[in-house]
Amino acid sequence: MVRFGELSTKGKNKKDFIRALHLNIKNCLKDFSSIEVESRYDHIYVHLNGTDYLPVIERMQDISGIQALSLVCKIENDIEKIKSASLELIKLEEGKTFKVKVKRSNKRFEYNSEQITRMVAPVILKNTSLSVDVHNPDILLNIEVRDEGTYIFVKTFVGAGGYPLGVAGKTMHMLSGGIDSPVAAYLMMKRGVTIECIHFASPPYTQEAVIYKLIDLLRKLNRYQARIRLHIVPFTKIQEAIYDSAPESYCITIMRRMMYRLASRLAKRRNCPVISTGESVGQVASQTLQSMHTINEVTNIPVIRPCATMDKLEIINLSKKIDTYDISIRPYEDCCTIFTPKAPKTAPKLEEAKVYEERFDYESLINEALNNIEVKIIE
Amino acid sequence: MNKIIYLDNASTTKVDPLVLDVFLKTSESRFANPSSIHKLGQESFYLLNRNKEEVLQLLKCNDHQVVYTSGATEANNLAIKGTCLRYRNRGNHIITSIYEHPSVLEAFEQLQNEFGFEVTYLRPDINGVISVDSVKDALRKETIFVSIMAVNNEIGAINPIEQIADLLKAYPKVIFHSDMSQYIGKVESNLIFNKIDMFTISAHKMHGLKGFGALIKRKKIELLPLNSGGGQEYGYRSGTSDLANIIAFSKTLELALANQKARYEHVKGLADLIVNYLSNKPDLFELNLPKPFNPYIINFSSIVKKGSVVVESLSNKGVMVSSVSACHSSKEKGSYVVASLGKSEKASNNTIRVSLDYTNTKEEITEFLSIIDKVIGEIR
Repeated sequence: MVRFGELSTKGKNKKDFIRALHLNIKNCLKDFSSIEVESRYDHIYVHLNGTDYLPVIERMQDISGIQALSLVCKIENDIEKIKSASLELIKLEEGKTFKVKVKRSNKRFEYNSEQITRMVAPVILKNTSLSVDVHNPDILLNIEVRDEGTYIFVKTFVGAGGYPLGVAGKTMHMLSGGIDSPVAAYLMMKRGVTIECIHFASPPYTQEAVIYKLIDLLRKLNRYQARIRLHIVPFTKIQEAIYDSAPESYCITIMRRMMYRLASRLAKRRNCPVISTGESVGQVASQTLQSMHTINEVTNIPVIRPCATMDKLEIINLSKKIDTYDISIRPYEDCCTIFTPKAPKTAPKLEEAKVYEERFDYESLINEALNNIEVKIIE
Repeated sequence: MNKIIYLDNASTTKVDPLVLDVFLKTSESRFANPSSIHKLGQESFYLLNRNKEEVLQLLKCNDHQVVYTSGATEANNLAIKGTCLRYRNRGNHIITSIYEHPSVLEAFEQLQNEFGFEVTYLRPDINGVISVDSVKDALRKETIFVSIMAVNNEIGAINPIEQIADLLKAYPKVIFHSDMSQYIGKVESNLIFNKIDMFTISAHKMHGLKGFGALIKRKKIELLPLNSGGGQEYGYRSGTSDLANIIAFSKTLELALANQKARYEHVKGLADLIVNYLSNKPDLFELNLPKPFNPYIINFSSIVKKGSVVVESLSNKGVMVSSVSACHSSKEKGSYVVASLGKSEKASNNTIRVSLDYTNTKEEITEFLSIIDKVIGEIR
């Protein structure tokens, strides 16, 4: 039984959310041939039909939009069957105490919740060594009597939370290959946003190995989004032009401005209403508030920075959780590290940046770069 | 990508088709375990011993024995830890050089940190070489073990292994080990192996297969085994014997030694071309050459352009070279080996290593030089 997270607050859109989640679950479990997915108004049910539940639960825990998962047993609305199934289930559990919790949404069922509790509990007391503890039970036996049948369950697992992937639209995510950008991508996906990634490659200043690193990172993120499009933008010429035209201390600022220009145009072309990045306030010179202000000026597309207020340590912990950390720390030069000036501006001025930019024809370089994007699909 | 010019032969070499052929054939026909007592197993056992004899004959080692390993890393570990731990009661001082392969350095470090040994790390002199005198000066009465590589993998320095072995003869308590991975089949044709107490060979550095090598050691020296088990390899290295690899290894060694002279001459010709080119561009490059010169490894620095970027540009154009040694190039530290030649920090931070091989052609080298010429002009 799949319980929805924040979906319950969504009113009219709920149907769309459930439809998206249904599809995501189906996709995620497509390797398990005998599994069936069934959507109802309040829950989605995944019928195991004999499949071992653990690997299924493990995979489903990565699907955004699921609050909790319960391993349930469905039986007919029949009090004798409820009794025997309850006993059978609880015998599989370890613990000393138990509590029976009954919910009866099917009001036509002949007994009410309290009566059901009073009929089931003695069966367990008589046939096991368990005792009752209503405050702090080791085992909580849930019985839900619904129109279509009764669901009994003991085991509940937490889900990833958030919204079903896809319902919130699509973002153009700037992926560098460091620790932060995959974490930011994950946080976007968790919020229901599908990602497309844009990466800036400056061979020979950046190594080709970085692309393999990105593929490895995105393969990790495939757990949350089965198919990810990666746009690799040739950035060498622009970077060289910046290097030739601007003082060293402004190179990074202008480089980031060019990247945002490219990302915005690509976002429009790919129907992404937003851009997202792994930037975190104050982490490096180009991520101070003043820098963000000067850099962000080139675009009017909203830029979402999920890691903006997180500490490096929090980001690292998340990257370990999603298993991207070990890949991210592979030491390659990326376009942000190779031209690193000794003293980058932490408070670059917009007017100055504009002056240096005007020194070269970036428009045609940007168009050229956009026309030579290489696309890789990671799935 | 266009044609590939492979100039990273100190990292690894392409397997010789003759070796591969031997490996494939024996894998199919000689699969029985040499430890089995049935006829098929005993045939394998016979072949195993015949091959050990062959290896020793090729190397002209009389009182040695062959311990096959998974490669040079394991052979170095076994030599260093196996010997020092076995004879730790005789003394606790051991000597090596600062520019050994990590499999040597890390093993020494472990002995120092975990087992209380005292380690002296010798530095190369201005020629890039570990001098006999520096070894002599470091010796103490507690010294039990010395490990000096025959050829340094980064700058190609050839160490006076024979002379060090002669020196240490006067110190019977000291066991001398040399990592000869970059030496055999390349540098000299003098067969000095019989003078060395124990030495390491790697198959894949001389057109053999990866994952195989040997520690060759005097019979009388005992080792504390690192792999316990069924007692193969005189009990020093347990694990089912890999007969196909063993036979392929003999073939590898045979080919490397038989062709050594001719290959050396060929490689020397190629190296001269490169050295000539580089020394004519003193404003762009600085040669980091040891004395004596080793044509198999040419290390130089890019003075104006970043070394790692030059390597990447060359790679994008199909030329495979290395910055520092491939084993640690991802650590992005400057080369202390090049620094020890008296070079500036800038030169040490931007080293490029071209390592040649008999399979390289003159055309390839000419092409490489024209590509590097172009690339240096293009990079900012």
